[in-house]
Amino acid sequence: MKKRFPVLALLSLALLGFRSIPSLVGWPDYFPEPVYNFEKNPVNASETELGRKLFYDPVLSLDSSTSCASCHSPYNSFAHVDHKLSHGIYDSIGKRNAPALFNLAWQPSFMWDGAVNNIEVQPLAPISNHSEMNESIEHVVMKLQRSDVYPLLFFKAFGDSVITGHNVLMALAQFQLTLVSKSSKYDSVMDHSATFTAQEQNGYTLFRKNCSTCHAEPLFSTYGFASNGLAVDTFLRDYGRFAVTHNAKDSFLFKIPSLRNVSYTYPYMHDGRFATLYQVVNYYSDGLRPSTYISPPLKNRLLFSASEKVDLVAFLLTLSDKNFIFNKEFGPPRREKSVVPGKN
Amino acid sequence: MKSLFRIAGLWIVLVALMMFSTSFVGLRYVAVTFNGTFGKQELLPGRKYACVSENDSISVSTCRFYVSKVELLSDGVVQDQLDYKLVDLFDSTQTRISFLYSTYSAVTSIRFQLGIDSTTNVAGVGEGDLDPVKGMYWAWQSGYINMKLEGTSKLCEKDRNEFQYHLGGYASPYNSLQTIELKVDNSNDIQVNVDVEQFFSRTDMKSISHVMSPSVKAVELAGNAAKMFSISE
Repeated sequence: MKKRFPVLALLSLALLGFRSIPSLVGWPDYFPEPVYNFEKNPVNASETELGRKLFYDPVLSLDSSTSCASCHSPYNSFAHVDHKLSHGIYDSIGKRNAPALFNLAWQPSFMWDGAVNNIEVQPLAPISNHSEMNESIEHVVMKLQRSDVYPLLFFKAFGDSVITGHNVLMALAQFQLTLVSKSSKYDSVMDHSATFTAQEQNGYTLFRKNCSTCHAEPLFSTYGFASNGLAVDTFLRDYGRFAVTHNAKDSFLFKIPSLRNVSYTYPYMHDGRFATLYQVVNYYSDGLRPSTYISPPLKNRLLFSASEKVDLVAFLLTLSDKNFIFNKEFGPPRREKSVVPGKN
Repeated sequence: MKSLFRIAGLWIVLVALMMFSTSFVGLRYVAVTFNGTFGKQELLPGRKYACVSENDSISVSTCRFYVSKVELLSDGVVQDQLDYKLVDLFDSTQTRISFLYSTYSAVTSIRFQLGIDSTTNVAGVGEGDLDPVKGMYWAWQSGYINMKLEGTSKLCEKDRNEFQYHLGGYASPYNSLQTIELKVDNSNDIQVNVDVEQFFSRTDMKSISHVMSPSVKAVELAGNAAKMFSISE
């Protein structure tokens, strides 16, 4: 009996070491503390790997046609390039532009209107939305339980092959929490391993003067809500956060998106109405119209000169994080034999 | 082999000690059971109940609700607590809560919240009865549905004679959480009456046939729902 203790201790230490790898989610010193409680739910390798597999698996949709990655492609910083509005099963089209996914641990709320309060429950929204995946979490759990591969993967991740909604959502959350974008040129400048060109530096100065109230460094968003005065699309009739709070003050407010990776995530705005960064800069410079609902920092037009616009865009390009979008850890998992029964 | 006997022996002694101490320190089971009624009649799924005031009938197909922070009190002092339980009035395996009550003092009241509090609502995905697969979670907007009451009535003719009350909402000003306290006469078998007629008689079913999101209506109806609970004589 005595002899077994060291063995057991070593084994449990090894298991502990295997289960929590802190480096899975790391961030530079100049990032603030994340909002997500990693102490309560530490990220571990097997859950993350399972979450990654689920993220890329269309089994989450009713007809096994649409995965999370269908609208959140890794090569576009997990946004949906060239698509104004999100797509779903049966070629349906949603109401809003699919947002890029990164640095989610720092976001206090999710969706353009902040309707979702925690990353762990966020997937419930697209899974059940009729023009996205049109599925239910109950049925997803049933399909996964019947598959050849998932019960084992859930056992590896959670020590239980009986799949629960909680575990599906935790795995998806863990994978998404590892999507940290922190190695753009801007980040290199911040850690003094690179310098801006004169043009980028000029753009940075303009940015800090005109844009950083809402798109605050280093995350390039306060993740608050604001109205940038865009005219309401008469077809979509989207009043933003008002739909969540029913408070007239919240009319036309949308979540401020981060500008990191902004060069990859076109088209822009909650309804994808602008195709290029120049259109966006032109709008803020020349297109803002006085409106009751526009947020205070935008009460006056920003009025950039032609060369200032070019400089500003040059700076915005320094927020592109190639290491992030080409990170193999974030891409589709290696293909395995996956037998998932059809819809039922 | 010898050590195996020793462990078994120790085990038996422990169990015996536990059983002995149970009676010694006054451990006893206190069960709380929720029973659906429509007025004085037992509530059965799909059965039509005469609705006196409107000369109409109501039938209920679903009545599920969360009770949370369920506390047994003795003269105002909390003696025991259970975090949460999803009650389904039409599933007899899901209507009962058991406490291993550990003091001699009499249970004089029971207190619980009808619904899930805001702390739990913002804490991410839950397990067990709080797992979203239980169908008591809103997908498009975060938050638990505190109570689902569904069925049919001709009062709801503009809505295909169907009513669906999904009552929830944790954030101000639409916080629909209700706190209920009921007096108990020191019983080990607390029978809580859930009289849905108390809800229907207070609810204007003609103008409100469905509530599916946090709103003024949801808060108002949650107040009506709190009136359903009483202790059976």
